[in-house]
Amino acid sequence: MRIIIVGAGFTGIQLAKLLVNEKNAVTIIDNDLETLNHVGNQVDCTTVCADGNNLETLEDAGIANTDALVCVTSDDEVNMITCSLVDAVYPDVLKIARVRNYAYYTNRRNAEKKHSNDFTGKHRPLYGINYMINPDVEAADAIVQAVENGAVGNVLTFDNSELEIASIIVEKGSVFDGIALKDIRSKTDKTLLVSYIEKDGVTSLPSGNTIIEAGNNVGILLSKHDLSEAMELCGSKRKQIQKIALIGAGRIGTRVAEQLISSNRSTISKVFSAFKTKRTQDFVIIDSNPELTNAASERFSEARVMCADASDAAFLNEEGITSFDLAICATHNHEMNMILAAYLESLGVGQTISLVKSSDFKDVAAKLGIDVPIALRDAVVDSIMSHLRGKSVKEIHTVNDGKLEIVECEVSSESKAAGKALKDIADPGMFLVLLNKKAGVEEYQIANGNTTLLSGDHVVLITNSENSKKVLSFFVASE
Amino acid sequence: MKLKSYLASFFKIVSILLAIVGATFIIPIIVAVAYNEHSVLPSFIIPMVCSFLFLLIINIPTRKIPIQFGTRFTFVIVAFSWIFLSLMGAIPLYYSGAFPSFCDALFESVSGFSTTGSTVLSDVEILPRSINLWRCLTHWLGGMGVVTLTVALMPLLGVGGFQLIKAETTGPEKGKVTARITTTAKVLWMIYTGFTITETILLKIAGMDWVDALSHALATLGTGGFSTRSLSIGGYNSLAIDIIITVFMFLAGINFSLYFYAFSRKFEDIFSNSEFKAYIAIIVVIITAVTISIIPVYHSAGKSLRYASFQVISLMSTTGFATADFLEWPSSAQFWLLLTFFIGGCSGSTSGGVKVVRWVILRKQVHNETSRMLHPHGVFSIRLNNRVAQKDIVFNVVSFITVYLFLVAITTWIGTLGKVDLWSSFTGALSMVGNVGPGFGLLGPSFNYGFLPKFVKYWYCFAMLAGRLELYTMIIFFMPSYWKK
Repeated sequence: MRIIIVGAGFTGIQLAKLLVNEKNAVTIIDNDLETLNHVGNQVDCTTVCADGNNLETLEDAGIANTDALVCVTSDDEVNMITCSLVDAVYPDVLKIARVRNYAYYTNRRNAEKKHSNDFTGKHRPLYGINYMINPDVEAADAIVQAVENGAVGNVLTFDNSELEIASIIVEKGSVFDGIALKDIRSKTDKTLLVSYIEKDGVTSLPSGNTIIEAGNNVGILLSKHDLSEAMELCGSKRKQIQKIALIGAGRIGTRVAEQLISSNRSTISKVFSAFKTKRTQDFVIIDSNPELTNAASERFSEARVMCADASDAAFLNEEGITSFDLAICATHNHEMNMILAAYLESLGVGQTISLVKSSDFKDVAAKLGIDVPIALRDAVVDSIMSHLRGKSVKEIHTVNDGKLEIVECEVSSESKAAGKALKDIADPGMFLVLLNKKAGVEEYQIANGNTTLLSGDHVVLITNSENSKKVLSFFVASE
Repeated sequence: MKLKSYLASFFKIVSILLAIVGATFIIPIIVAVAYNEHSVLPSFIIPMVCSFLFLLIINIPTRKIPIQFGTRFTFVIVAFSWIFLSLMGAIPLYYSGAFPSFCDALFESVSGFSTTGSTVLSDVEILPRSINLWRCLTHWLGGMGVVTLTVALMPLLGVGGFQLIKAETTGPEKGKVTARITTTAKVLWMIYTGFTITETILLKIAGMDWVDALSHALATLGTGGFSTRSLSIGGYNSLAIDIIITVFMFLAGINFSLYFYAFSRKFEDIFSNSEFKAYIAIIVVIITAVTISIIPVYHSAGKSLRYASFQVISLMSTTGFATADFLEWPSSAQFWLLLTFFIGGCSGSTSGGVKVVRWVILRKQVHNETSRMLHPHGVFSIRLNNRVAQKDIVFNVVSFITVYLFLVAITTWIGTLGKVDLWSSFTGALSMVGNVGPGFGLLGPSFNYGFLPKFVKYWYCFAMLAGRLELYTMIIFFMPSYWKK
C-alpha cells in the first residue's frame, strides 16, 4: 500500500511508524525541513519538504499511484482543502483528514444512517473526505466505551458481539496466581481465553504453558456478562456504577456527558421521564469555568452541574464526590487530569478514568493508580489505522502502544488456512485466533484448537504488529 | 417628516382596524333584521358606515405614504387601537338605549373587549338579541386580539406586524409558530374560528337556539363571560350545556400554538410544554379540593363535581360564567376559587390573569434557589418546554408580577374610595386586572357592577385594558423614560 501523509506532527509520525512496520510505502510531506530531517532519522519513509495543499507537490510525491492520503497538519482547513483538491482530480484515493474544529466535523456513519435512502453511494464523500477524524470525538467515544465496560482497565469490544477483551491486573491471592494457562479451565466453568499477558512491561502472546503470576496484566477474552466473575477470579472487585463525576465540561466532557446521559433514555421512556429520572445515575459535571458550566447546565437537565475547582478537598467533601463510584477527568489539561484522578482515587472514589496526552503517559497513569487512562493521540491513530486497512479488515485495535494488534478479517477461499483446524495452523508467538464466526451466523464464538476454518468465516486474531501483515495475508487472499 | 409619516401610519392602522371591527357589525345587523329589532339597526349601521368613511378619509390622501413606525411607536398604536376600539364598541350599546349612560356603555364595551365579562346590568334578558350578540362578539374579537386580526388580514404591515402582535399577545416568551407572522396570525384565527363554530353547533344540539349558541360560543372562546341570561349558564340548568361550556372554557385557556402543533402532528412539543402540564395539574388539584369542600352543600358527589369543575375552570380560564353562586359555598371552597384569581390561564390563550407559565418559572426559580443553598457551587438553569429559557426570564416575571400586584393595590384603593368594602374591592381589583369577571362580596357572580360610582368604572376600564394588554403596553406611557428622546 502506498500512503501519503501530510503533516509530520506527533500523529503523522506515529502513523508513519505503524504503517512502515507493516511494510507500507509511506511518504511524509511537511513544510518544515528540520522536522522532516528528524522524521527521516526515525522512520523509514520518503520525506518531501513542501506545502501539502499544493496539487503539484502531491503529484510530485506520486499521488496518482497512491492508495490513501492522510492529512494531519495542525490546520483543519489545510487538511480539508487538501483532501477536496485531491478528490477533484483523483477520486479513487482514500482520503482521511483530521478535523479538530467540531463545527466542520460530520460524522459519516451518522449521516449515512440518517439519510440511508439517498446518501450512500450516490454522493461523493462530504468535502471529498472519506473519513473525518475528530480527536475530541475519538477520545470521548473511548471514554464512553470505557464507562460502559465498567471502567476496568482497557476493554476492547467487537461489533455485534457480546464478547470483549478486558485487560485485568492479577492481584495477590487470586486463584489464577501461579497457574499455567492450560489449567485455567479447571478454575472456572466460564469460557475464557487469555489473549495476551503483560509481564514486567513486556507483552507477549501466551501459549498453554505460560504461567500467570500476581502483578501480571492479562487480556482476557470473555462474554460481557462474565466480566465481574473474571474480575473476582483475578482478585479485584467490580461495583455497579451508579454515581459518576465528570470533571471538565469542555468539548470532550460535553460529548461524554451527552452520550452517557442519553444512553439512559430511550424514546419511549421519554414519555415516562418522570419515573425514569429516579432510576438514572447520579451524574455530576464539574468545571471551574463559569461559561462552560452554564452551557452544561443548560444542556444537561438530568445532571448536576457545579462550578468549582475539582481539586478543592472541601468542595469534594461537601458534595460527597469522594464516595462516587467513578470519576472521569477530561479537562484540556492532561497532566492535571492524571493528578486529579490519582487524588480522587486516594480520597476513595471507586474508579477513575483520565484523559492523557499519549500512550507514554499511560504507564505513568497506571503507576499513579488510575484505572483507565485514555490516550488522546492514540485514539486518533487507532481510528486512522482502522480506516486505512484493506476492505476485508473490519476493525483493528492496538494493544500496549501498538506492540500487539487485534485484527478482524474474513477468511478468503484462496487462503491456506481455509478448511483447516486451528491446532494445525497454530504458530505460537506469531498469532492467536481468538474468535470465529461462521458465514451467515451473527454471533462470534470463542475459538479453540478444534475449530475448523472455512472460507467466508470471520476471524478475530491477535498478533505482533511486525507480523500482522504477514498473518493477515495468510488468512485473507494473498497478493 | 418622520413624525408626519408616523402619524399617517398610526391613523392608517387604526382606521383599518376600526373598519374591520365595523365590518363585524354585520353579524348583529343580520340578527336585528331577523328578529325585527328595527329600532337598534341605526345604532349599528351608522358607526359601521362611519368607520368605512374614516378608512377612506385617512387612506386616500395618505396612500403614497408607506406604513412605518419604530418600536417605541408600536405601544402607542396598540394602546390607542384598544382605546378607540372600546369607544367604538360602546356606541351601539349607548345609542340603542340599552345602557343608561355612556360611562356604563363604555364599561360594558371595555369589559367585553378585554374579555372580562363584568356587566353593569342586572337584567340582560330585556336587551335586544342583537345587542346581546354584540356584547359577546366583543369578547371574541378581544380574545384573540384585534391587532392580531388586523395583521392576519393586512399583510402590508410586514415586519412591524410582529412588533404589534407582541404588544398585544400574552405571556413572557412570545414566538411565532410559522415563519411569517401573517401566516401565524391567520393560523391562530382559523383555529379560533374553528373552535367557535364547533361549540356553536354543539350548543345548538344541546338545546340553545342559534343566536344564544353563537353568543355563548363567542363568549367562551374569548374567555369573556357575558351571557344572554341574567343567571348566566346556570339559567339553562342543563348538564349537556354545562359540560360543553366547561370543556371549551378549558380549551380556550390553553396556548393556541399547541393546537397548531397538534394539527402539524408535533405531539412531543405538546407533552413537553411545561405550562400545559402545570395548567392541567393545577385544575385537577383545585377541582378535587373544591368538590370535596362542597359535597355538604349538594349532598352528591356527581353534582359537586359538576358545579366545582364548571366554576373552577370558569375562573381559572378567566371566563367568569357561573352555574352556581360560589358565595354560598363554604369558605374552604371559596379559598381555592380565590387562588385561581391569582393564576389565570396559559400564555398565548385568550385568558387573562398572571398566566400559569409565570408561576411555573417562579416555582423553578425557588427550586433552584433551594438547590443552590444545598450545593453552593452548583450551576442551575431554568428549563421551559425541555428547552433553556431566556436568561433574564425570572427578572421579567418578577417585575411583571410586581407591577401586576401594584396595579391590583391601586385598583383596590380606588374601589374603597367609591365606598365599596375592602374585601369586595380587593377581589374586584383582582378580577378587573385579571379579566376574570366576578369578584367576591358585593361583586359576586349574582351581583353586577352597575352601582359603582363613575370614577371607579372609568378606572376599572383602564385596569381591564392594562390587564388585557399585560400591563406594559398600557402603563409604558406613565414612565418618564418613555417620553425622553
